[in-house]
Amino acid sequence: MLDSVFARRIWERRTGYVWWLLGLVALIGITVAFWPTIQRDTDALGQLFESLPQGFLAIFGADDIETLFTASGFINSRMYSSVGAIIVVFFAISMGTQAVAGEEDKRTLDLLLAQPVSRRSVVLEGFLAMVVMTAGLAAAVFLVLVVCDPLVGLDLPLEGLFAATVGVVLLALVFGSLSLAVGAFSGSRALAIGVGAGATFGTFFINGLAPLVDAIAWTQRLTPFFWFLDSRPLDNGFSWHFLVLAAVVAVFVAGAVWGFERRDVSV
Amino acid sequence: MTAVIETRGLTKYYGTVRGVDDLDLVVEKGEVFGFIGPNGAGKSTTIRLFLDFIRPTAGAARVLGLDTRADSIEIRRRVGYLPGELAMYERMTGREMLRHFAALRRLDGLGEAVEIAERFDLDLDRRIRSYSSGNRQKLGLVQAFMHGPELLILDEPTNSLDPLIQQDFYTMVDELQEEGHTFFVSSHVLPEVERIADRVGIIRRGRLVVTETVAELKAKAVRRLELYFSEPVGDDAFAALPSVRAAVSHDGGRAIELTITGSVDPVVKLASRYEVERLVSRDGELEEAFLAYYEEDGRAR
Repeated sequence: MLDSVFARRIWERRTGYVWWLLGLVALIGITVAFWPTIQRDTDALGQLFESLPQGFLAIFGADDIETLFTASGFINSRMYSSVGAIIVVFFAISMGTQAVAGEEDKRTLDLLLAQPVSRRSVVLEGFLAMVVMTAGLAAAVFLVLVVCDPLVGLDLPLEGLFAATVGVVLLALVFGSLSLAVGAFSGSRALAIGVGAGATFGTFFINGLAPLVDAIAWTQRLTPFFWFLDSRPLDNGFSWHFLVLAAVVAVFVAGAVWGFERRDVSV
Repeated sequence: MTAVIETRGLTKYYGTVRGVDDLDLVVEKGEVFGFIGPNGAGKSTTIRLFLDFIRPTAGAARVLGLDTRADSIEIRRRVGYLPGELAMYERMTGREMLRHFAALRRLDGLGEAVEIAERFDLDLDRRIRSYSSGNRQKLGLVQAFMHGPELLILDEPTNSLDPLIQQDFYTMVDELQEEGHTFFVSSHVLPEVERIADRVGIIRRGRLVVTETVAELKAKAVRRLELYFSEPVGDDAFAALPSVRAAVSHDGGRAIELTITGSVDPVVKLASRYEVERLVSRDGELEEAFLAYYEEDGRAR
């Protein structure tokens, strides 16, 4: 279980991870349980939502009322474009932070780097652990939805669900590898978390609100949320948009390796 | 003789803050080298340069004949290291941490760890979090020794070890030295390393003040001796002795404070002519004694 840095990262998370999983599963379970009620009262809810300001709806991932009361629109707004996605993103940020900055903060990095382990592999194995565990969270959501689908009559397309699962992992990895890179450059745990979380909320709101203001509508394209959600993966399946997310992750991880290899490790 | 550690003009500044300055140092194979200096003198900085945790501002160092920058992984494969500020994986048991490091080193099982832990009477199956500071230090030593490294770099190794365990540690160092292992041991006090070191380098404010054999150093060591007599004696006779550098008398000549270099024998012989009530000897800690000595000598070299 402790055969590599990768394995240890997972080992260290084994207890906390259960809570992340349970939290997400509970969230998605409760969400799905509401579906039959919502489906029944579509008209009344539609009128209620019509009366709410656009910006308000946009923040909650419900930018389009037409699609809100379809099963995929409902799951999308509750799971993949709001709370659920943010939870997965924050998990990735915590993993990315831990990989270098967290270990430096606890001062265990000295002993680790006294072993014949390259800095590159410390970064890459930390990243790999982040990929595996983040994917695990998204897979749990996927499984819950697949199991519940026939029970409450969601009729979600399987390919779309799979695409959204991959997409939310990529989204989370963007912010997770950003925190990894910031931590690798600076050695500061607080900075790594701060930048990761700040970027998450900042781009989340830009993605939701920018389209409402013509002058800044283009800024939406700068957010990872846009490249995840704009192609409507839950309905349409995979899109080349995901490649943009993957490319950004690759750049951040390469930057993390480069930054960590060239700097002094703090005492 | 082959150099196991060799530095040339090794310099490290953190911005404008001095770490080490123009360090030239050679440690030969099979010797125990004591690296002595007050806290903040640059001992840990030097060690961290050897392990490529930090990079030199100027100059270079070779460890086991390898470049500390280019061949760091090979160096770390063959070196055992005990950090000065030892932080470990608190949630693991001692055994789990050793297993992790053994795997990273591609050792069979735990290497020599179990045997060494037994020697130190260290329970490996408790969580590191619950270890006393002495047990932590023992575990730190075990992980440094477990792969039978050619060179051991130990930063303040006897820190928080009780005297009995210190003896075990010294014995182990002796044994390993006989097998040809080399040691680079730092400390802020000389007595900690003079028992095991063959040679000592004294570092102060980032500069290597001197390197000498322990025997040479002992001869030059500054000691303070306080003599209390039942009658007034006065300091004149003592001040005249060649090994006495300074003599001050108090209490109407009944108490005499002496600063001595080299042998105390003539002092004791002289004192024995009077009735000595009490005798206090202070083997100077480095900061006050050795460094003061080198400073008085017009900053030797």
